[in-house]
Amino acid sequence: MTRYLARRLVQAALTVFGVVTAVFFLVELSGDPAALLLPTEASPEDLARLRESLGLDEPLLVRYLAFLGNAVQGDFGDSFRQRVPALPLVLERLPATIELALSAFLLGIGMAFAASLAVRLTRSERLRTGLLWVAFTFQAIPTFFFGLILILVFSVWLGWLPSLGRGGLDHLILPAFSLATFELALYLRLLNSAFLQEQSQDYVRTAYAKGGGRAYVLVRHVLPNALLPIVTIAGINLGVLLGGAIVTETVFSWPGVGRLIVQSVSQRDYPVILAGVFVISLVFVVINLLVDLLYAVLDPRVRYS
Amino acid sequence: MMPAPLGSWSMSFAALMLGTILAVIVVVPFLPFYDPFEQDIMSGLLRPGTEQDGRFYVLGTDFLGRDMLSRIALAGRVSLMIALSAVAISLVIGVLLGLLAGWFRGPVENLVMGLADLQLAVPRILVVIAVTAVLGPDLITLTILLGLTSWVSYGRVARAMALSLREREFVLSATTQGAGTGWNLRRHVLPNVMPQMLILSSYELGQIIVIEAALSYLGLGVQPPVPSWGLMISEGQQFLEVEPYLSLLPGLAIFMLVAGAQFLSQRFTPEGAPDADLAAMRRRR
Amino acid sequence: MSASLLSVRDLVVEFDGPHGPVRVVDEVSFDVGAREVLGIVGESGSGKSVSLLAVMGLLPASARVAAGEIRFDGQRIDDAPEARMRALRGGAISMIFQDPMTSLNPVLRIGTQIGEAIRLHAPQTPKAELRERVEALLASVGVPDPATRARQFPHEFSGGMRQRAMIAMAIANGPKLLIADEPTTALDVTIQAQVMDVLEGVCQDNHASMILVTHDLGLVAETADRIAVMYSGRIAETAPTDALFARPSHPYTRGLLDSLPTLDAEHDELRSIPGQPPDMAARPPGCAFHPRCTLGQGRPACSSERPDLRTVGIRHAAACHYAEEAAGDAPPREAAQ
Repeated sequence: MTRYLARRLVQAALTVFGVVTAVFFLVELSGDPAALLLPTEASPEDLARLRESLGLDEPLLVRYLAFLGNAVQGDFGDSFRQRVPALPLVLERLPATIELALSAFLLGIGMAFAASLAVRLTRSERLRTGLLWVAFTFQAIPTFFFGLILILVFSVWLGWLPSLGRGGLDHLILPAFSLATFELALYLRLLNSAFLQEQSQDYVRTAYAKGGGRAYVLVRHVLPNALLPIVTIAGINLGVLLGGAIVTETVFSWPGVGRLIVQSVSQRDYPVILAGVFVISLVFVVINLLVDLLYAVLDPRVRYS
Repeated sequence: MMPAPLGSWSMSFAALMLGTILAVIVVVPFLPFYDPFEQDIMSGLLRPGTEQDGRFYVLGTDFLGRDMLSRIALAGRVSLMIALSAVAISLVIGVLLGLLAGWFRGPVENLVMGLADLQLAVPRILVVIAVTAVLGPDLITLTILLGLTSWVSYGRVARAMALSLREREFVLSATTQGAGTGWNLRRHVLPNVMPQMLILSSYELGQIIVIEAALSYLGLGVQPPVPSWGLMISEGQQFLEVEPYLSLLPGLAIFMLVAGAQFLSQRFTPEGAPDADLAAMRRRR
Repeated sequence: MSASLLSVRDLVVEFDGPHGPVRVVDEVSFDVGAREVLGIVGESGSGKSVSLLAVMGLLPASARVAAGEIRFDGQRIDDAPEARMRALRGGAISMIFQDPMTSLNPVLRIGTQIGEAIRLHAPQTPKAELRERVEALLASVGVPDPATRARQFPHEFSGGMRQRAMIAMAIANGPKLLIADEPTTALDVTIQAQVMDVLEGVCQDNHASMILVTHDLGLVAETADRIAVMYSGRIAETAPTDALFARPSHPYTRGLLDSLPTLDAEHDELRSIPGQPPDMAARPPGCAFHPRCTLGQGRPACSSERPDLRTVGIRHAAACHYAEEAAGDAPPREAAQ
């Protein structure tokens, strides 16, 4: 277990390192950000001064190592535009993104669980087909477009909910629900097949032979086993969730990391983009580590091997 | 992976949706009124089905007076071209890496799976955003990027299949008769993997269209004046309260194409066939 | 036979097939008396497991009891409400399944799964008492160090130990009838005898009856009081164990006996029954066994008339038109190998 954990930690560190390196060299490809920051009529001297002050005149390798050294200390340089350190700028926005992504995740998986359990308990073929329809439909609707429809219906036409910004719970409902639909679609499909797969296992028959009822066997025996693959998928799918969050934040003007990154792209504010990509991949890697730990807690076969 | 098909009439419906949108994409450019670029402020924001100056606008016009039907058709062509090319790129990379990983195992497998993990640690959209930020938005770059970042699901399934195929009797017997790796992969493994890969790619096609639309919506994908469904939705958003059709029509077009492709991919997925998500479930051991 | 614990009469079980219902169990009758061990023998797919799942009320959704009746302790249970069946299952009737690897829930501790059998029937059992009883049960089936083992997970148990745990689970509530479906098939040969000893032991300790389902005649020879041989959903022959081995009166039973390995040098060549059991959805007319039968070749009755079970000796019945002939040329054999 400890060895497994150590291996996963190293893997995680390598992943973050790989992402950061890739992004650094990508930015290097872009040419001269100093030229972008100054008006076109600026003198070559001005340009050189700015380059020097931004540390852009050093050789590539030196800048890469310096960048790595700084990155380890959480220093991604100052935002070109706002002239303040980039990382705090990103971290400031992180709670908003986590709030959105987490509530969408819980909402999506919660609905999927409730629906799948209902299907198993009622054994209604019609309900199952209906839900799979819903899953397929949602999977084919881009999240941002669904968000727009939600705004149209609930903000514009009905006037029930605010469509922009972050505030109370009422501000969270539309963006979270819109982001949750993709999750719902995914988990509805997966839970359906996981339940079906587990339902036919021998241990289920054993549980019935002991005198367990349908609901009891489903919750006590089938559910913990069906949960295992779902946990793995949830970790892997986190990237899609965060990606969706980036777009959803823009649709609803949600002040999260995603919106910040999108805004920084149009301003070519590389330090902020860099810090943003770093933070999001770090979130991904950390949560996946936690997922692996959770998996080990849930599955004794992993825990003791 | 779907335990039971969704019913035959739903398949007909999906085929109808897909057929309709494909017909729009293919046929409309040959119609006499086709012009996705001509602006006419005087006939801006005409609702669908309006006639003005002796011209009939089936789907209305956008705020610059451009014909919506023409733009939707051209945008669809652009989307499809991007998505098809990206799928082709990712398919080749994914199958190649996946087969090598599954066949050779050991360090090759570790390397490929490590790459896949790295790939997954950053959302596809974020990679494209980061690169676009640096290189500037460009159709070719966008296509290549989407291709380069979408190979993982093919790679996973191909690897899983290669792992089991290499132990199968017909491969073993070929090996005992002196068949080399290249021969085995080409003659035995690839033909067995390809049908599954093609089914997967029709699902991926839909997903890439959605991602491209999202990027264009963010202003990081297809650039004006070239139309794209995502861009049209974003342009229409400012008129959402008064003329929602501007956003709804291109959104509907995306839905018809993506849902159609995915329903059909479902239709051809055999029961119990390896699935990217399920393959991912089993990956962690 | 009036005092039988379990009485199955003319049981018919049908599965949904692509072309209508398929009779998987076809008018099967048997009885199990108090403290009796009944062996049910047949090839896989002969309907033996399905009949017992019907007794448990655990048929898969695609199957149903189409006719006949099942009585337990004199009361009908084939049409009993689900609540009554739940009380019976794991209570007065319990079942042990073939594969102990998959029949235990991989994510729950062994002790939890045994304790569950108790708690499902006595929800108020205090925790401490539950633990004591679980450990006592494990000890009674020969699991060493039960306190530690109860806290382990199935994957930490060997196959034989898992099957012992399954047995412990089955006897948790002192059942009157134990149904063991191929309890040793999935185990190593060296472990099989041990597990059989445990099974016999717990039956005696609990004064329980047992139905032992197997495809291995040799296994039931030592254990069973009576044997019923099933072929293609029907009972081909039923007799007390000694009588069956001494005077097999159905060609299929004879075939099974001939395919048993013996220590006798004269019989060192194993004979097998040629052919395959028929598809249940397309049984041959007449006797289902006739295409594979050496005795019935060319005899019109065998391919046109379905033979019913008829008495051929004391508590001995066979479903063969030529049962006497089948028995007649059978050389006497020892019952136990």
